[in-house]
Amino acid sequence: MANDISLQTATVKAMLVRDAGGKSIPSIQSLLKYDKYIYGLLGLAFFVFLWWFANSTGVLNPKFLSPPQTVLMTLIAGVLPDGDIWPEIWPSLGRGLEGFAIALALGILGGIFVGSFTLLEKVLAPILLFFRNLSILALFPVFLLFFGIGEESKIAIVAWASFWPIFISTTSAVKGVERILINAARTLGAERPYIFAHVVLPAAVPNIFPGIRLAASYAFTALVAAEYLGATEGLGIYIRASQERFEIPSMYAGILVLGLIGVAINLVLTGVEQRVTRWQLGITSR
Amino acid sequence: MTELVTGLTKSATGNAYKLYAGDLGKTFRHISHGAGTAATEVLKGFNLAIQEGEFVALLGPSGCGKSTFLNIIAGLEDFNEGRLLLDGAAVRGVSKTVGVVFQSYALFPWLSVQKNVEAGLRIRGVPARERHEIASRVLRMVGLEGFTQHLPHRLSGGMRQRVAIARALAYDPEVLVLDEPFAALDAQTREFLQNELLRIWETVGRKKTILFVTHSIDEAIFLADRIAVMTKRPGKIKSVIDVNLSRPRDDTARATAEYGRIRREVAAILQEEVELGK
Ligand SMILES: Nc1ncnc2c1ncn2[C@@H]1O[C@H](COP(=O)(O)OP(=O)(O)OP(=O)(O)O)[C@@H](O)[C@H]1O
Ligand SMILES: [Mg+2]
Repeated sequence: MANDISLQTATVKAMLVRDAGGKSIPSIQSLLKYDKYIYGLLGLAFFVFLWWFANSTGVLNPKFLSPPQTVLMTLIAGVLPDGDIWPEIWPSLGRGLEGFAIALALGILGGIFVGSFTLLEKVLAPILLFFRNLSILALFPVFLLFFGIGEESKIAIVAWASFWPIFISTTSAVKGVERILINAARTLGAERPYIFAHVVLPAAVPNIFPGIRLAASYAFTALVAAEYLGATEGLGIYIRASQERFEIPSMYAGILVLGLIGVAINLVLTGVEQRVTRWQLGITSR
Repeated sequence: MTELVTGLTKSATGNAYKLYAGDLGKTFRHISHGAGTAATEVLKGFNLAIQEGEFVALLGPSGCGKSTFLNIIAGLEDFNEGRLLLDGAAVRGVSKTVGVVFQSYALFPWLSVQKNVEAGLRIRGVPARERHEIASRVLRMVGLEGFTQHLPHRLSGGMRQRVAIARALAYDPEVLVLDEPFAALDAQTREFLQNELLRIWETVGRKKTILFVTHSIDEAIFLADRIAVMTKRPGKIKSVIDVNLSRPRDDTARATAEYGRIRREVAAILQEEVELGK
């Protein structure tokens, strides 16, 4: 996961560098700009071919692996407004985003707080160490006890899972904020709340983002697990039910939708990240 | 050589000093790598009195406590002994009438030049339009009107330093303390900015009280009304030398006999301290 993130930033970096120096040979440069997509498409095509090949030659049992074209048709039929996947998307997406938003707010606030007060961090260290390493699966029964089997428990599970990476990256990002910037703000007359919002947060944001992206993927992992546990609607339960009914193409279509949601969220987050960390271009090698 | 003022918090005219440090002492306590805690006595018996509108340069061997004293004035650091008065009142915490220019600029890298300069006004709740006008005026004053939308890292060192000065000037502090602001610059830029600083200081309506830390004797003479020279650590003021060069000053001041005399005097005092340190 971490590798994946750094690879993406590396590509973005490379693109930006090219953008900057791309005035001299526009034709080649403008083609080079798209190389990421061209290579990406090649890789994708190869993967689909392998999938098709494995299915049609029977290398992988065709009963368990549907051919790509069938999965695609099922997917398209499913996500049409009257399809059977469409109504499952929104409950899942809603839970996922709600839990993620809660984690985002609490993780950043808590991280700034704990990261700013050394004493607080020392006091909380053992407790935090215990919980952050605790398997989310072990906590499911606890969440069910407190929040029931309704929406709340699922949202809480998602929030819990995605809270930790955000919280941890914020804590360390806050500790990395240069003392001199805080002192400069203080001499300008700033009080604590202003310093948190206008100095600590912007200075820390670039180092919080890797945690946020990790959190987004944790959110949907936890969500699907929560839905397996018991839900009447949602992509998790759809995937599982399809398998139980032996509607294998539907199962794969559901997985594909989940994966695509993950990709979309990652793209959105990358866009936001580039926007809010644009000032770093030229300072770091980002 | 003016007399060191000790015990008196008022000048001969009866007015309170703008800034008064009496028997100031500062000891850092820290956990040592060896056993227990260690203490570093940085300032001891530090006396300095500065009048309103005065330009004082602070010189001293490296590590003698100049930055520490500046941080104490700025309210970023506390002290253990003595008194520190601003306008006759004890300094407690960060004072809104003191502007600070740090050696490392300390600009906010995510804010444009304009926004950096507006920061102090924004904190004071000055409305957007007004602070924009003030910041633009101050940026014109330091010759950066063409760079208002740049981010700090796209500027040269000299320009960044001017932004830092503009940021401190924008909210019009009565006292300005500068910690080796030009130390990292090349000789030409440095002299240019020295001239700029004098021009701004001399032309701004009510003269600001300035405390200017530097390692350069020439810079101190060219800029200051008085030069305070510190001893090695634990630092205190060893002597204060008057600079009787006419104002406004320009580069011809550097060629006068008086300049040469002061230069030799200050160099001798500093030399003594450095040798004592060995
Ligand atoms: N936070 C701190 N904890 C412990 N010791 C400190 C601390 N800050 C400064 N010192 C010590 O205090 C002494 C004076 O430091 P200071 O930065 O004031 O010196 P300075 O006169 O500004 O030196 P320079 O000319 O090199 O900038 C040094 O010996 C330094 O090691
Ligand atoms: Mg210093």
